[in-house]
Amino acid sequence: MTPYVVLSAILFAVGAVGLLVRRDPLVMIMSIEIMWNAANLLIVAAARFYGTVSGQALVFLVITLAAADVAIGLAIVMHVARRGEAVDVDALKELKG
Amino acid sequence: MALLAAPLVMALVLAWIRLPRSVVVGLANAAVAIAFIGALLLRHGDTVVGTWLLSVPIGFQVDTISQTFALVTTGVGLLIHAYSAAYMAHDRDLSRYFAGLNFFIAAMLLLVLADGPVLLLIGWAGVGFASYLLIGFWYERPAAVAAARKAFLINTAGDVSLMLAIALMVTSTGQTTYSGIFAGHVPAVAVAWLLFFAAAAKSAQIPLHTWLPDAMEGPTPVSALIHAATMVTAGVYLLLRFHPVLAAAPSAAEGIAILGGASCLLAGLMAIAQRDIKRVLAFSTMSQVGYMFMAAAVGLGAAALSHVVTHAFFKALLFMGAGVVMHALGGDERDLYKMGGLRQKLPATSAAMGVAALAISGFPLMSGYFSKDAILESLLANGHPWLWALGVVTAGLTALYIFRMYFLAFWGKPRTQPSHGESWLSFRWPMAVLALLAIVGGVFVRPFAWFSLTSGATLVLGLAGFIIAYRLYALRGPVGDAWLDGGVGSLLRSEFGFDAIYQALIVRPGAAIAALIAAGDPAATGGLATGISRSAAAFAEWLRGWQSGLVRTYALTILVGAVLALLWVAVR
Amino acid sequence: MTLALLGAAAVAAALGVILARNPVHCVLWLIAHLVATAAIFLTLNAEFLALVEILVNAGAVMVLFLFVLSLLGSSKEPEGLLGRRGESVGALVAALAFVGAVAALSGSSMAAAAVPAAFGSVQSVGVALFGPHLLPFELTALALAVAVVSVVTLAGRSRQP
Repeated sequence: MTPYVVLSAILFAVGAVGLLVRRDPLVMIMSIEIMWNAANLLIVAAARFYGTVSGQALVFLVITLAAADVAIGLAIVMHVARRGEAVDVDALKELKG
Repeated sequence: MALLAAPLVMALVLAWIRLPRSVVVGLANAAVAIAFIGALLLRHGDTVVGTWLLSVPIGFQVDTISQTFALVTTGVGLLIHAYSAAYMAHDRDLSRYFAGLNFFIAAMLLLVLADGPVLLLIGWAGVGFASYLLIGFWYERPAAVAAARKAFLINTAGDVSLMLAIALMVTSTGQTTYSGIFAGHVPAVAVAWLLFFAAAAKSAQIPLHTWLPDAMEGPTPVSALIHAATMVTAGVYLLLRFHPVLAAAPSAAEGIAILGGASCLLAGLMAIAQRDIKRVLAFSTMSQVGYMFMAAAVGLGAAALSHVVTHAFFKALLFMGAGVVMHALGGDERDLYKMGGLRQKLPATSAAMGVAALAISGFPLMSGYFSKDAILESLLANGHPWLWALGVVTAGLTALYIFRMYFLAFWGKPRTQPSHGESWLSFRWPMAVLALLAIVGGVFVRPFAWFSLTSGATLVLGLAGFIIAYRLYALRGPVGDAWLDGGVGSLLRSEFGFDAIYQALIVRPGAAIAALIAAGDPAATGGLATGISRSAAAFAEWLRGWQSGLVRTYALTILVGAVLALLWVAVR
Repeated sequence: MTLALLGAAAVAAALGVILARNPVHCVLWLIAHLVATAAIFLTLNAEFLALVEILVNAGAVMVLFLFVLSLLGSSKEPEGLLGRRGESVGALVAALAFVGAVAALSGSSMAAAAVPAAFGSVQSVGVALFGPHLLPFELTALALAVAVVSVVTLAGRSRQP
């Protein structure tokens, strides 16, 4: 099981780094996709190693929710773009305390 | 217990829900009507509803005393509600007014129907709170606010006294119902005096009477309610309910009766010198309640109860009449010197007031004649000649002050032209009902005697008072008050200086201590409080820096947190 | 051996996503990453999920990305690939620490359980979904409905300021 755990962790870390260093929100959403995927991989591996199909059912639901997450994220990007603002998350900091 | 729930629920509804004005009036009246019907249908006995405070039963007890009080409260209360519909028709806060009125009735019903002192205390405090709300109803007027505060503070002093009395009774007997308490042994003298103190605060008896005249700042129907149906009679109820305790402490009972007699006489004297029509009536109430206290204290419950009933009729009528007069003179004119001659413009009101004045001064065969003479006769028969003498003298004073008021207001030359007459139907029918009751209300009290030495004496003195009032005031008006300019008159006008004494003994020292604390406070608690708030503000300022608005900084923070959590697990 | 190859491909594609300058290239790298992951799913007896991964994620979701990209036009990142330097360094350090911590924790050398041949088939996953896990399944449907409503609200034309 260890190789899967490590692989999953590496993929998760890559996604996290992408989320943290990129400024284009679209690429950030893709990075989040990678992180979702890393988690899915771990769950599928666990399902296989524990021999229960429930894990796969869970992953199915996670994929669904990830799709919803992407849809909302993209809608927000579209909304910001339509307001004529730069698509740059560092410029979007109106909620600064 | 529908009669209790209807006004209580309606008070809450009116307090929280905005309704059209006509609906407010209709609902408030309907609630009290339901309560009145419920009071009529009450059957004597006890009902226990539940338990609270671990083991104190919530129960209700209906006997002659409580049913009589419930009937007076709801019956006279209903008439006052109907009268209020017209009197307050143009007030912008109609809903708040009727909510207070209904709450008043509900609290009074709880007070009289409770089967133990704990539940009684809740009603007692509710009555005090309702009076605060209603006396200060016109909260834009500083005088009304001050009067409400004064009434509430003095009543709270009474509440504390009642709580102490209840604590003594409950701890010494281990019981929380009347029957249980009266079966056990209580420290009767202490409890009796504590009960008297509480009753005196609520019923405006010497030495705690000073709030009552000031309470005239409230709307006039509220005064009628306080004096006739609800609040002031609560003290009498307390003495009647706890008569076994009083009977166990004869010396205390004697002292209480003497204080009641003093209230009776002094209030009658003070009423003579008042210029304010409602203050005359306020002192009159105090004086009449003094009669009831005398009788209740020495164990003459039936006589006291009968005077409660008849007094409710004619005192409510007097206040309603005063309200019509004030209304006719442009809203809030209460100075008797500016009235006069209103007989022509307000004939029906004048007649009703005349009936009430005759009733209160004990004109033969009217209600006050029976109930007052019942008290005085029983006092004489039970060996209290001095109290009897006090009462008889006060009967003469009663005729003097009430007809002084009547003649000043309704006879003589008009000193102010009324702006409008007594046109409203709803003003009049409650007054007509009350006038009828003031005349024939004696049948409710089961006449004790048609004629006796007592009634002869009160009749002579009452007639004397009437004649003096007629000679001084009927034709000459305010000039008749010239005899009050001397030393005795100024003593009466200053109301025996009670307010000045309290001002000097209690209010000023209290204010001085408060000023001292206020001066020292900023340094002590104030410093602590500002220190806490400053450090909180500084911490918040530092924390604010973290809220950069940059999404990726937040994400990094989350990641670092996750890593730290993982590392902690790994190291552990 | 299969895992090493597929894993390396998945990691490489993921690195491609976060390193490519052009967002369209990012999408293409992401598709490659997802296909590699689907292949790993296959080695784990998850045929159904592998198909879903390709159909839903690599297919539908990526097409959605491409639509948005074409609507926004070419959007090169304003200046420089990365954000501020301190953050980038912090992110790298944190990511390395994360991988290290996970590797240190996953000490168990657990062997794969014996599973029936139908493990991971459409039927077995379906039975699990509609049997014991029906409530989460329905709740997911609710979450989707909420997402649809919010997307319509956000993207609706009438709400233009």
